[in-house]
Order: sequence, then C-alpha cells, then structure tokens
Amino acid sequence: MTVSGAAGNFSARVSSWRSSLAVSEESLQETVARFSFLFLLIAALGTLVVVLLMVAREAYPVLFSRSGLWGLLITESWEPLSEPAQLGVRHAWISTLAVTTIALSLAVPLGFGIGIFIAEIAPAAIKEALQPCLELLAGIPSVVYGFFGYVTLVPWFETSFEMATGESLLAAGLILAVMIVPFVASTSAEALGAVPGDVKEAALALGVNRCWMTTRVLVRHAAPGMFAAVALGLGRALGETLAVLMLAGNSVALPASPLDRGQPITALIITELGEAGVGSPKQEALFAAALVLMVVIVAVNTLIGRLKRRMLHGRV
Amino acid sequence: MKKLFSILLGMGMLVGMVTNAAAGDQDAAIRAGGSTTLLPIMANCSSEFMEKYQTWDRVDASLSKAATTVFVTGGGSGFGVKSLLSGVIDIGMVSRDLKDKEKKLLGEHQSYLVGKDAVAIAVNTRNPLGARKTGFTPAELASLFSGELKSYQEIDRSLPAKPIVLLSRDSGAGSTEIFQEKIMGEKKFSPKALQLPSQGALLEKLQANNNAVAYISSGLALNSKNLKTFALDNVEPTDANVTKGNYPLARPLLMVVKGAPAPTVRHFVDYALSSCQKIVAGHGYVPARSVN
Repeated sequence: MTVSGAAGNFSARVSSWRSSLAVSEESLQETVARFSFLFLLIAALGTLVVVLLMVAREAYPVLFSRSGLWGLLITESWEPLSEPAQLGVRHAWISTLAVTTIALSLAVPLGFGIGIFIAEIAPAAIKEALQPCLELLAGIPSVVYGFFGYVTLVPWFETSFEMATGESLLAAGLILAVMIVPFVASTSAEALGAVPGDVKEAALALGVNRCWMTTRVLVRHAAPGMFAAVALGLGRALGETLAVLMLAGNSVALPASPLDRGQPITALIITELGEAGVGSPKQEALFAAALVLMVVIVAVNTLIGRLKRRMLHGRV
Repeated sequence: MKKLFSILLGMGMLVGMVTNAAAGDQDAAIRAGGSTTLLPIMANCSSEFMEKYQTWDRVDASLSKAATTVFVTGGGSGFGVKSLLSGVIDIGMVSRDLKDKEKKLLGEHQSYLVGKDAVAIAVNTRNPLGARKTGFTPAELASLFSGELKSYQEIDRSLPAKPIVLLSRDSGAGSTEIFQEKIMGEKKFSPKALQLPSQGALLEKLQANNNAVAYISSGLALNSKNLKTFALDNVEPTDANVTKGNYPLARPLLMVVKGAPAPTVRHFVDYALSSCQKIVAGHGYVPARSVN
C-alpha cells in the first residue's frame, strides 16, 4: 500500500515537473538535436577530408619524385621488379576509364529506359513487383556478380570470340553494367515519379501525346534526379574492385582494345598493396593511384552537383 | 570449406588482436601469417592443434589455463616478414629463403623448415603442348614467360597458332620471386600475363583454360589429374627429386619467429614439425623430415 502510494506520488510529481518545464524542454531538445546533427555532419565531412589528406600524404613523395605526376600517369609502365622499379599507373587508369565507359554507356540508357517504364508505363502491379527486384539486385554483393561473370561470361567469350582467355575489359565492363543498372533505374524512376502530377496534366491538356510528354516534359523535369542516378552509377563503377579484379584479367600491359586484358586502379591496388613495403616507393605509387581515383570521383560528383543546381535554378 | 575456414581465421585474427590487447592476455593466442602456399597447411595444423589441446595447460602443465588459439592468415611471404617485423604476428609463414636484407632487419630470429615446395611448369591435359613437349630448359622458359614466344607455333611448328596465355602470381608472391631469380634472371615477365591472387585461383584458371601455361606449386600440379607438368633440364618435379635437391625450382617452406620463441610458440612449432608433417605431405609438398 505504502509502496504504490509512494509510486503514485512520485509519478504525479514527475508529470507536474514535466509540464512546468515543457517549453524549455522542447527548446533543449531542439538544441541537442541541432548540435548532434551538426556533429554528425562534421564527422562525416571530416572523415572525407581526413581520408583525402592521408592518401595525399602517402602519395606526396611520388608526385614530386624523379618522374613526378607525368611519369606516374603517362610515361612509365608498371614494373615493380625491374631495377630501378618503374611505378607508372597508366595501364590502370586507362583500364578504369575503359571499363567505366563500357559500363556507363550500356547501363545509363538501359537504366533510364527501365526508370521511365516503371514511372510512366508499367501497370501498378508490375511496378510494385519491379521496384523491390531492383533494390534486391542493387544489394547483391559485388563478389557474387564477379563470380557469376567468371563462370558465364569468361567461358562464353572464349568459345564465341575464340579468345585465348575470356578475361577482358569488355567482360568486366558488361558485368559492371549489370551491377549499376539497378542503381540508375531505381534512382531515375524515383526522380520521374516525383514530378508533380499537374505538370503532366498541363502537358497532356495541350494535346501532346504520351511519348512527347515523357521525353520533353517529364525527363526534363526529372533531369537533376536522373543526373544523380548517373553519378551514383559512375561512383560505383569507378570504385568497384572485386568484380573487375576477377574479370578484367589483371594484366599490367597497356590495353589497346576492349578485348584486351587490363588492370583497373582498384584491382592494381588490391593486387599489390599487400606485398608493398611500408613507406616503399611501390606503396607510395599505389596511394598516388588511389588519390587519382579519389580526385576523379570528387571532381565528377562536384561537376554533376553543379549541373544539377544549374538545372534546378534555370527552371525556377 | 577450408578456404572459408582460413578466411574466418583471418578475420578472427583481427578481432582477436583487438580483444586480446584489451584483455592484456598476450600469451594466450598465437598469430601466424604470410605465404598463401603455407596457409592451408597451417590452417589445418592449427585447428588440429586447437582440437587436440583445448587449453594451454594441457600442452604443458606450466602454461596458463587459457584456451589454445592459433590465428592463421594469408597475405603472401612478403606480408609475413613485414608483419613479423611490425610485431603484428608471432610466426611468419615464408615460402622462400629469407633475403639478406630481411635477415638483417629481423636481427635475432629462428627459422624452421616445415617442408619444401617445388614450382612446376604445368599446362592442362587438353593443351596440345603437353603431348609435344616433355621438358624445357631455363632459357626456353625465360623466353616463354617474358612473352618473346607469343603463339604455340613458335614453340613447336606442329602446334596450332593459338596465342599462349601466361598465368602468374602477383609480383610479391614467393613463387614469382623464385621464378624470377632462377629462371628469368635479367628478363622481365610479360606484362600480358594474368596475375592471379592465390595458388588456388591459379590452379582453377589453369585447369579451365586450354591455352594457359603457368608456374605453380608442384604439389598442386601433381595432385591434379587435369594437369601435366614439365621437366626442367630433364629433371621432373617429383618429391624424390625435390628432396634430393636435384630439381632446381624448389623453395623452402619456413616458419619464422623473431627473437627467442615464447613457450606457446615453441610448442606449436614443435607440433607443426612433428604431427603436422603428414598434413604437409597431404597437400602434395615434401615434408621437412624426409627433406633432412
């Protein structure tokens, strides 16, 4: 009896204390929330800055060594065992460029097509089935895609193109395209779906057909979001490691055609870093290669962000 | 399954380092790492050891009651020595002779011969080269792996004009180093060679590709029904030839310990050099006992 009475007394006291503090409590909550989110933002941005600085610090000696940035990117090949060691990464960035170009040129049109289909054409039932499928596809680990390509694409290339061995930039690019289609498709479908209904209706009221409305009105309206879709796909393509390691052939020769073998930057780093001595020129060259990749990704993202902002402002 | 197990062990090693450091219990766990050639042997050996003696006091009554834990991870021979120097691991697994520079850096150290591995030149049995040739000279191999010979026709006129696909390990692997040193000499590996990240991946690729030529652990090559090995200077890469030291492309499989080994490390090394020798043989390598 006494216990429950005391408990009731206590809860009454707490509730009166709460109501008296209600106003200041809310503002306190707000302040706490504001600061914690600010802190999280700083932490996230700080991580990016710290990573960039660390990579730059490790890469720094190479950039100002005997052959410099020019040697690293253009003139030298990758021969870590020769004397003196040649540590150029031209084969790697050319491979990365080739694989990414192949992947994007296939995945972007296909992804946009799927996006338009989901947002505009598909009946609700198909739409509801398709979107989770895309999300599932986007969530499959890259090693699974890599293995899938290794057991299907590689033997297929060998038999149908009479290649001595099926690993090639094209094989890596194809699998990479399959990997990024879900990203491009679902992001662009979202962007298209977010276009206000009255914009569509206004266009249709002017008597244009559905095709015209989709390509000239909808896509234009959703362009910033579709750009974001491409950026997402590009980021994944540039950074993808395991699938390209398994499929590109991992050869250090300079690739001359999509059917040649190559070694994208990520594959170069994962192949060589484990054996590179701490502080050795080889390790520095690998960090320099990583820096190149990071700078490219940051630059591309900035550019796409700019374009997106310009488009948003241009319309308003 | 074994691969998966060793990967788990590798991850466990990282976790183990953190938890052990936190508990301040440095003696309980042994960490071994390095050569991917030694990895399957050591992974099996360590799990056998852990199953046999659950706790250290069962190995030796004077040791603690902590559970026997041996973490084994891959990374390559170079990684093994590097991690040994930085103190991340207790036993470096190295599948080549230690270099003078490494010996100097290590200072006082012990290296134990677990077994020997021969690097064999092999093709898969569907490769027509296997029927034409029985062996190579080092000079022939050097021109083959440097990419001077581009098609099978250039090796032998009766062979088809198919391009030769060279398979290699990455530049840091023990087998690459020994091949460079004893065969290639001044020549460089062909940049067109496919670099595979492990001996297992190399074996898989070689078995699957009819145009490929590779240098691969003789244990793996001789145990595979799908591969044909070649003699080097008329010496076949058989266990007997490796044991006698006749086959030139052989390398030692070493466990290296920096400084004087701790009691736990010494017990595990003893176990590896006795009971685990059958595992060494089981993987197709030449155990140290018959080597000596």
